[in-house]
Amino acid sequence: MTLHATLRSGLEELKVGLTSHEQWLYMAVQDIKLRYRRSMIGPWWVTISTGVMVMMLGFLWSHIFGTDLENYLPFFAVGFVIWGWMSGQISDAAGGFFQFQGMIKQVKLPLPIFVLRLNVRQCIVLLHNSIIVAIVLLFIGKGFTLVSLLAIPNLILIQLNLTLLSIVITIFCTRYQDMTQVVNVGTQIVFFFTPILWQVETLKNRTYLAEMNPVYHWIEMVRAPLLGHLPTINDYIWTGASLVVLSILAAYYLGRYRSRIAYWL
Amino acid sequence: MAHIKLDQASVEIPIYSNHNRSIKNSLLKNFTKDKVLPHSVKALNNITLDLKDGDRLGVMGPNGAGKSTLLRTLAGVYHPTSGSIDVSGSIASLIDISLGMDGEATGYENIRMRAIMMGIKLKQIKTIEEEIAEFTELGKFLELPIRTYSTGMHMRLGFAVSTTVPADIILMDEWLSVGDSDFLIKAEKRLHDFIQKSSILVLASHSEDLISKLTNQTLRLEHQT
Repeated sequence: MTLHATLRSGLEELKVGLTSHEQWLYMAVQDIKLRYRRSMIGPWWVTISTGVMVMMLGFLWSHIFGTDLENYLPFFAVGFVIWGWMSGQISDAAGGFFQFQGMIKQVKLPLPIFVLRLNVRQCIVLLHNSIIVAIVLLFIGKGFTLVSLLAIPNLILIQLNLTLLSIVITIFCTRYQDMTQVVNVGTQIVFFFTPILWQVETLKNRTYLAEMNPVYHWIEMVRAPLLGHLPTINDYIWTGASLVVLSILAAYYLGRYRSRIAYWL
Repeated sequence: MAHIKLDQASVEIPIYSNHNRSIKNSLLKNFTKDKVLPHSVKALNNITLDLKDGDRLGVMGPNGAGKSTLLRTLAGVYHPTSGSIDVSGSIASLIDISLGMDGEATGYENIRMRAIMMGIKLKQIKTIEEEIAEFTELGKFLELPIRTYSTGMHMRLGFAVSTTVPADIILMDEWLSVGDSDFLIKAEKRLHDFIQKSSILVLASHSEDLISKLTNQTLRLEHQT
């Protein structure tokens, strides 16, 4: 197959996947419903544990960095919740298509719907966790402004990036099972390299360490408006560029390996 | 107009051991002398098929001859490694009727999940639910998680959902045996109706009887010698 044909069939697959929204939305909601079923508070457990983490680490790190809490805690809480949402999707993707193999080996369905189902699941968890952000911003931070609204369209932009990245990782980890661990370790390393715990200012004249990191820009796209200032032009450029690169990559992967995935399961 | 065309289609299934599944080995493969052992099974070899409306194909052959692989290829799951495939028409796959069932979810939820995965719109689902509830006679049980069901009840539900929406092409692996004798008669009737509405049937079975009763042509698969 030529490169052109591969990309085209990959894009077609992506489109079919995205437009089958009834399927992935319903399945994701169903997944969350089942989580509620056997425990009274269901996904709120995640919120509680994230909330406790944010509070504890927030106090600890603001002392270590010697910054005041009103300044540090909102920064950390927002970054940490967004990170949880992003890394959750990546670690779901690292599991590959294996959890859906029964279905994939039986009927032909657009493959992106399985990835989207997992993505939506994490988005519902984020919805639960956003209460932490709301509490911290209202009681400790500066509250919400009109700029905060910008977080919502930006969040969608980042979600697109994450979905495309998830597709690439899922296909990759289905082919090479031992990559699951590598991806998980990689995610952890990225966490420490990205300004979530620490602020960019602490880098002093080495800010390029953050500037060269796309994940920093992704987080900034949502974190900045929530903290009351606009994302920089750089953040938008990086996000747009990663969207283009990931679209091409995901289309290539889907076009090239779509028909092989059933063989790998 | 539904049709199935296979032209010289072969399916070769790779066997991934831990050895060649790891990325290190697949990178090193180009540099080391010892070539990886042949790691694939030829499940189908040069199959040519041409099925049109009204065709009822029986597929026979010993275990491991490739009957299920053929069905999966027709379903679009395995893309032939060589040769070509062209299928048009909606497909109902009765290879595994309890596909995608979730033990924690209730009977109704499972009906909805399956229906949605089969591409049915949310609006139509209500009528399907009622029809299935009536056919399966599961009544109040449909509100319970299906892990509480007996095997027979499980089968009833899976069977009813699988046969609820008419399709152009039906792929079946063995005749279904569902439940007790009363229900069996009902199920047989439903299945016959379901097949009647389709335009192409492909049935894999070991039973000569069944094949001669239901199909008008037979494909015999053999082990490669």
